[in-house]
Amino acid sequence: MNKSSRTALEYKIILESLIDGLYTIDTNGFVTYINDGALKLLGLRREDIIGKSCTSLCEVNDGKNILAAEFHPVYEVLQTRVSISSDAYSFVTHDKRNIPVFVSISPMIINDRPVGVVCAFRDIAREREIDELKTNFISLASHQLRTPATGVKFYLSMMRDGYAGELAVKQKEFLNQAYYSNERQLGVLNDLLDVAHLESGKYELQTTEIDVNELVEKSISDHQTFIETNNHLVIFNRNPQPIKAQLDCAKIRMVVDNFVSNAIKYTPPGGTITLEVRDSLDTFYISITDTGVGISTEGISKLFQKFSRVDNPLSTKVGGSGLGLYIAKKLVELHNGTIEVHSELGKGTTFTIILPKGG
Amino acid sequence: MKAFVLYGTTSGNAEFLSQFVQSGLEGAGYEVVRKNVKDADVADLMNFDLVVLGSSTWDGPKQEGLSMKEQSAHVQGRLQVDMRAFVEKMDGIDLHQKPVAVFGVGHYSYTYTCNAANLLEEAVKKANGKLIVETFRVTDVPDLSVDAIETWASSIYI
Repeated sequence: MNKSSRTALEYKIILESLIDGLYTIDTNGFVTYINDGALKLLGLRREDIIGKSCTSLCEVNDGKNILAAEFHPVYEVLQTRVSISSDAYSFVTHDKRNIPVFVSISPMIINDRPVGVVCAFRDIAREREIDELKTNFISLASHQLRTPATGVKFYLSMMRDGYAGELAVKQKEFLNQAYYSNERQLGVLNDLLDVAHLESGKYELQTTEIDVNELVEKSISDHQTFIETNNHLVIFNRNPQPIKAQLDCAKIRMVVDNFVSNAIKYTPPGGTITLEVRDSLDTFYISITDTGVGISTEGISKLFQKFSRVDNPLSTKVGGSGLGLYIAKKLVELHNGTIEVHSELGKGTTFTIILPKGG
Repeated sequence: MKAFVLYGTTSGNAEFLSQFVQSGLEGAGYEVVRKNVKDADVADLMNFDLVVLGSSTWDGPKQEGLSMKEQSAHVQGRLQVDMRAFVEKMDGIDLHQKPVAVFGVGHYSYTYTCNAANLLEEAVKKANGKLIVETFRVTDVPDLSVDAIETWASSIYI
C-alpha cells in the first residue's frame, strides 16, 4: 500500500467512524458519497443510494412544508456558495420518521466552480425533547411562583391603602420596599412565562386593525409619571396621517412599552427621548431614540439574547430579568417584522421597529 | 448582430453551459449579452436579434394518484424556478417571429429529463417567436457536453 492510498483509507475510516451523517452530492443532484452514520440515521442501504438523486435519501421539511428538490438547502448553498448551518429543517425518511436535524452544508469548489456540496447532519430529537422539558418546567414553576406572589401583592396593597389601620412612617417605608420588591419579582415571573409561552410554539396572535400613532401615544402617557420623576423631555413625531395596521395590539404595546421604559431607565435625568412613527409603503416603523448611556458594539451583539444584561454604569442600578428585549424581538418576528439598533457610547441609542402593515 | 443568452440555474449547470453558448456565439461573430434570467426583464428580449433560452429541469414533490402525464403537467419535470417566473411574464407578449434558440439541461437518469426544453419551446411558440435551430439537450454530466454545445451555438445563423 503506497502512502497516498493509505491516506485515502485513513480518510475513509475517519468519515465512516462518525456518528453524524455526512453525504456529498454533485451539481446534477446525485449522491456521490454517503457515510455509515447517514445510512443508519436515514435507514438506508448504500447500494440503494449511490448514483441516485439526493431526493431519494429523504424528504426535507422546513418546519412548514416538504420542500420540492429545487428548494432544498443544498441548492441554495450551490447558488450562493455560502455555507449554512441550521436547525430549522427536519428529514422525513422513507418509513415516515420525522427527524429534526442540525445540518451544516458547504459548497465544494474546484477551480472556482462549484462541483457539489457536502452536507453533515445530526439528529437533534433528544435536544428538542430536553428543550421542551425545560420550557414546560419554566412555565410550571413560574405559574406556581406567581400565584403566591400575586397574593402577597394583594395583601401588601391592602395594608398600604390603610385597610389594617393607620401605619407609622417607618412601617409605610418598609411596606413600600416590600411592595416594589414584589412588583419586580412578578415582572421577572411574567417575563419567564412569556418566554416559555413563546418558545412552546403555541403563541397565537390576535390581530385587529389599530392606529400606530395612537398606540405609541398611549404608551407614552402610561409612562408619564416615570418620565416626570426623571425629568425627561419626551418628543413624539407622529406620522402626519393615521397608519392603520393589522397587529396584535397587546403584544406590540408590550414591545413599545419595553423600549420606552428602557429609554427612561437608561437615560440620565434631564435627557431627551424622541419617538417617531413613519409610514413606508407596505411597512411602517416606530423609532425610539434616547440620549442615554449608549451600548457598545459587543453589547449590541448580545442585546437580544436571553438573560443578557449589557454592562454599563446604569445596569447595576436598573433592575430587570434580561428577557425584555428577547421577548420584544420574538414578538416582532411573529409579526414578520425586524428591529434595528444604532448606538453610540455616551451619546444614546435608537431602536427602530419595522413592521408590515398586513401583520 | 446582438444575441441575448438567458439561463435559469439552480445547481449551476445551466450557468456553466451558458458560458460555452456565449463563446460559440462569439466565435460566430455575435455580440453577446449573457444574463441570469432572474436579473432579466421580458422587455429586454426585443433589444436583440437573437435570443437563446436555457434552463434546467426540476421535479416538484410527487403527488399521489396522478398519471405520468398529469405529473408532468403539474409537478414533475418543471422549468427551473427563475425561468418559470420569466416564462409566466412572457405570457401575452408578441415576439414578432424573433429568432430564438433553446437549450435544456438534464440527466438521462431522470424520468422527465430535459423537459424544460419542451416547455421553453412551447413558451416561444406561444409568444410568436421563431425557433431557428434544433433545440440542444444536455442529458449527461455537463462537462461532457461543453464542446458539443459550443459547436451548436457557433452554428446558429439568422
